[in-house]
Amino acid sequence: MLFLSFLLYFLLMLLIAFGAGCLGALVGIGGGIIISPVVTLFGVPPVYAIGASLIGVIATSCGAGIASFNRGSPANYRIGTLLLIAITTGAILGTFTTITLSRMRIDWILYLCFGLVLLFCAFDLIRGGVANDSISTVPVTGFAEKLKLSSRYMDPVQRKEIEYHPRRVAEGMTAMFGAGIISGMLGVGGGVFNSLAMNSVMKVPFKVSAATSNFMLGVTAATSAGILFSSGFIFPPIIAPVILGILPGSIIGRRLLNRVKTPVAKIVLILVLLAVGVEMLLKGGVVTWLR
Amino acid sequence: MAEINVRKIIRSVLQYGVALGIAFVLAGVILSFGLERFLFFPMSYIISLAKLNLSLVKFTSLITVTPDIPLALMSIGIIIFIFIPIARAILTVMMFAVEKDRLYSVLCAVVVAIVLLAFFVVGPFMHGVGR
Repeated sequence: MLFLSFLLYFLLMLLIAFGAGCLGALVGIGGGIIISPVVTLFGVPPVYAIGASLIGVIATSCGAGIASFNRGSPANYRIGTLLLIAITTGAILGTFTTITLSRMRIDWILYLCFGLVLLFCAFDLIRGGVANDSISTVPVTGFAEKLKLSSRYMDPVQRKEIEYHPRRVAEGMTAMFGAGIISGMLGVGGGVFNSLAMNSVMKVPFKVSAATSNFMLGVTAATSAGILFSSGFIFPPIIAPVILGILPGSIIGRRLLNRVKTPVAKIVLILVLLAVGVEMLLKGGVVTWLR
Repeated sequence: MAEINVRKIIRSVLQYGVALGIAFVLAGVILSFGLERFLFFPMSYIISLAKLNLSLVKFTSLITVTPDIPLALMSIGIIIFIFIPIARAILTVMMFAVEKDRLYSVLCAVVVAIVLLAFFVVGPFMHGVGR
């Protein structure tokens, strides 16, 4: 793979990023999760590859953000802000870890983490992910009440306003700190973890957590990408095809949303996640084994 | 009403920011291909170039360290992409301020501070440590 010419890398990555953006938008996860592992398959060290997916995450989150402003977004910026404090702090720690691991030449840990996270996401999709929407409608007291996180949103299916009261704020923030570390380490936006923490821990309705997560993804990715950029781990030619591919991909994916059967897209994405995940585990595992 | 206005500004920042970022990256790519830079380099050479770890935080070094216009254009595009969410967070501080929500104005300002700290302090620090 190392002897590929740059032109071939550029064209292949353009296609892959387009596909990732498209699938990501169809299934509802960022798609950035596949980018950095695939870039490493071209021989790019992980620490340079995660920059590519982070910028890709920012691009898709901006695209989705524009679309959500057109529709009138149910995003809860208070929840977003509060959780961002935890997740950006985690992201700094995560990126710091990756750069340090890379300088100590123990990249195999990163490959293992890539593999585990990819497989986790695949199984999360298989399990149905966010299918079981749990909402807390009982007013909360104490800390959560003081933070004024309760709000309401318009549910398009039930055609009525639903009031919700997020709870377990401390647990949610702890979970987000962990999500931030993973996001910063591997350059994934962490959308899957965002939804998990908001939906299953804090009982925020899925519509709200998805819209809020979009705001958080961009800021989280910008934190890690900022560190990578100013420490020199972002090399534009590696990233350019990802930006140029993933954004049109995600736009077309959203357009196709009503026409393509989502289960098909979901199965394709699950297969890709499994394949790349196993490849990453092998890459991480084989090196350890040889030592 | 004022809240809606800030939301409109955020939307325009996202729209024009993405367009501008894409334009810079695309210009850099087209120019580098036009000049036949990178194009037929083996991937291993590109990776060795990446490993030089050119930090382009200072805009002056964009010109002095990389007298390479395509690379500089792409870098500017990437900087724009990094600063779109930061701008969005700053505008969110304003949104809270307009709503007279003092607690969340402060909390969101903390978020902005963390992100800026990452770019301007943590990154350059990491750059220096490895040298």
